[in-house]
Amino acid sequence: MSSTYRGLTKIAWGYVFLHLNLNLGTLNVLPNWVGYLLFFFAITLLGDQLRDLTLLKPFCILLGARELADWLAVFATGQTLMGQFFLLNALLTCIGLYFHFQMLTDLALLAEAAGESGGGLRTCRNVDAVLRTLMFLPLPWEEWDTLGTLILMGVLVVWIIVMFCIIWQLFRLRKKFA
Amino acid sequence: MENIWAFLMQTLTASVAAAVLLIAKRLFLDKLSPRWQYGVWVILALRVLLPAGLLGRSLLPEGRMALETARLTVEAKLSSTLTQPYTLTEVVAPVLLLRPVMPTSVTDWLFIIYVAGVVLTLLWFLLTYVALRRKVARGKAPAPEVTAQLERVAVRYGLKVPKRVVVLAAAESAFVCGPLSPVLVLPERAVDDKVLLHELLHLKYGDLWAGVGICLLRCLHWCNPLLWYCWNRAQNDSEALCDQRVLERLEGEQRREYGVILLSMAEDKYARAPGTTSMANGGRNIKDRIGAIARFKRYPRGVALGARCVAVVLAVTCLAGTGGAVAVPEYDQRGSFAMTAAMLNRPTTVAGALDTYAKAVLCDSPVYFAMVTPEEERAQVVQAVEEPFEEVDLYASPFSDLGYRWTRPAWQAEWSVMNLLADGAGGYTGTLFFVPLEGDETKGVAVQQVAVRPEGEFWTVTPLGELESWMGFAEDGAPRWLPRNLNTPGTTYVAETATLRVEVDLRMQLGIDRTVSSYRPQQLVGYLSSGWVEPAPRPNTPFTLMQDGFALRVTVRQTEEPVEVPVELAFMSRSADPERALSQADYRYTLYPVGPDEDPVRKSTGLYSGENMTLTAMPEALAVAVEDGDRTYICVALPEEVVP
Repeated sequence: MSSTYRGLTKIAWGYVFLHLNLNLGTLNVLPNWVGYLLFFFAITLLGDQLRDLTLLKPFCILLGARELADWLAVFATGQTLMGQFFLLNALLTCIGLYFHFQMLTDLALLAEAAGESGGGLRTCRNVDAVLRTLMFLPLPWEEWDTLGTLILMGVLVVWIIVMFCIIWQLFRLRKKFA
Repeated sequence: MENIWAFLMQTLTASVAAAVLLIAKRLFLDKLSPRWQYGVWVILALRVLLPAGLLGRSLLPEGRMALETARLTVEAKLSSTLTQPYTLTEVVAPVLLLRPVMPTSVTDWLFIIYVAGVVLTLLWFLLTYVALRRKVARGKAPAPEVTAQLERVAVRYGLKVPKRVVVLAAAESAFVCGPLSPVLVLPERAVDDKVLLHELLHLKYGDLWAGVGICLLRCLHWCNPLLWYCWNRAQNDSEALCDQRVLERLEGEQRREYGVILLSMAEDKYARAPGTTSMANGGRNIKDRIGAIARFKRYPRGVALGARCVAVVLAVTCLAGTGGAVAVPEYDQRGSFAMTAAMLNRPTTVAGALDTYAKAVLCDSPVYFAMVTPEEERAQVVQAVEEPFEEVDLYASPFSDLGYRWTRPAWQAEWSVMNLLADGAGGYTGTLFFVPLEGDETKGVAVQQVAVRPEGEFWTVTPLGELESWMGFAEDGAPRWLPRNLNTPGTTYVAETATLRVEVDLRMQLGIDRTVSSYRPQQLVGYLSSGWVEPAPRPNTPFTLMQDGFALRVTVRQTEEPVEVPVELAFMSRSADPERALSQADYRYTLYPVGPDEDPVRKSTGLYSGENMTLTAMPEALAVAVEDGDRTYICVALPEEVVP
């Protein structure tokens, strides 16, 4: 099994951990920080092929640490920790946005190098970046009543579809490196 | 900015934004393009040009709290002309606004010094620029081969040659000067094509105007070293971006040569001159630019989306800030911090103002009174907040006489307001009721007339009378359902047709629910029978509960004999169309007159609840539809009699 295959598997599972949450009370048994841990190992495995990917290691550590802090805080108090620090949260949102955008850009390049189309991953990357930005905007969702709820639901549904597409494309891509 | 505190608020907000941008730029130094690195400074420029605290949002609420506390502490002891001690700091405009008044305090003089600084810095920049232009005016015309070289470079790269090109002996490297009529200034020694390309690109992209803008922003915050550092960085980033543009037009070996040219450049004494751009901007900066050149790559188009999204998040963070408010102070908090927290939590709704006032009465808390007191009376409240905390004298309170339960820190009573009528000046008057909690037995209710008035974007409450006890008020042991009781305040609305007179007595009780909870987290074994009053006010709450009660009388106008005809009515504003109000109103009723032995409140829907109530005061008028013979009249009933 090649390191690329293992790296892609880890990234795909990382996205599963990141976007699928299973809660037992306040305990999330599929914590997001595990996702970033998997991304970290994947970056090490794919670093030889994708040089730019290694630049994301510090960001991966920061985002993982944020998720770990939030996971512990939610478990202990029921509330996230980083949400209380507006400016720190904003900077981490920027980092998260760039991290996923650049990682998917690199994975699209990897797909093209393997003779696959990277267009699907790039489209998902773009939609994901736009939705992340949109969710950060201080829009008065609650004041828009039904329309706000509908838009919010629409955004979430699109996001779920995008995430499903990313995971599916990564699992498909890894077969090329089996 | 009308006073020193407004300037401090503006410059501190800009500083926080600057710090955020510097951190972001450091994080993305080797990841995002020079275009992004330069472009994000627009966010700082906009932050400097937008008033801090706009729309009640703040970049760092804790910072604002500290600043307001300092202002209150300092200004309470002064008698400044430019600053009101008991109002919140407000940045009306991001530029200085000096009122022609005589300064009377230290802070007034500090603001004058700030204004003088702005004027002097502006003057200094202006004189520097004029001196440079005079030197440039004495420059020699370039040799024909230099002109030919310049035209060749311009043609090759599709750029325009400036109308004036001069050679200046004092210039160490080429630079462009003057945004309105740009002059390309060349040194006496030979200049490489790439250096000319660099300067022509500055002209093409209007970097001179950006430089002028930066100079003005420097003047506005002349005493803020962090912002000066940021503007220096912005000008360096402008040069780095120009390098990127040059490199994008060069190939292979030429790029390496461009780096060598940069390395050979000494610091130009005109590098920071206003209205100029110079390729040589200091050894340290050139080192950074060489680093950027070493990292040079063409950024693919698609990647720009990610960079833009990061920029949008940063812009939203720095420009919109957070609506996160400072926590509402505790009822027994004292001192300047408590007073500041009170002023930063002033009520923004009528219901919020009444809730805050009611909690102030129930807890006898000066800091809660401070939240709703009008500006002209705030000095007295500040004194009360400064004094040490004292326990409530239980026996001096009307609640004690009425037999209400006291559970620290509040008398256990629910509040509601009746007869909340518009006062014609944007405010309301009404009767505030305090009734016992469900299950508590008391001798009556406490009542106070109040006025709720707007003050800017906030609401204040002024008592119009003493807190009175209404003994023996309870009906069936539970006086909570106030509109059913004809002794409670109400308004009679009257309408007349050709033959009939319609009188509608309306009683309306407004309040907020969720005031009382039967669960008290800190007490495992507690009150089994009753709940407790949540002591913290909710300054931004809307009314969430409304109860109404009607009594209807229809009489023949000439004989005054009662007539039993149904009446349909709806709430409306004074100028509205009654027919339309009846067909579209959210609150519409059908009433029937009753005999003298019957309950006069025939139609009481009992309770409306929820946060989206459209009715938040007594209606200005009623739209009335009444059957008179075979005809239905639609008319307007106006308030005729108010029972306080």
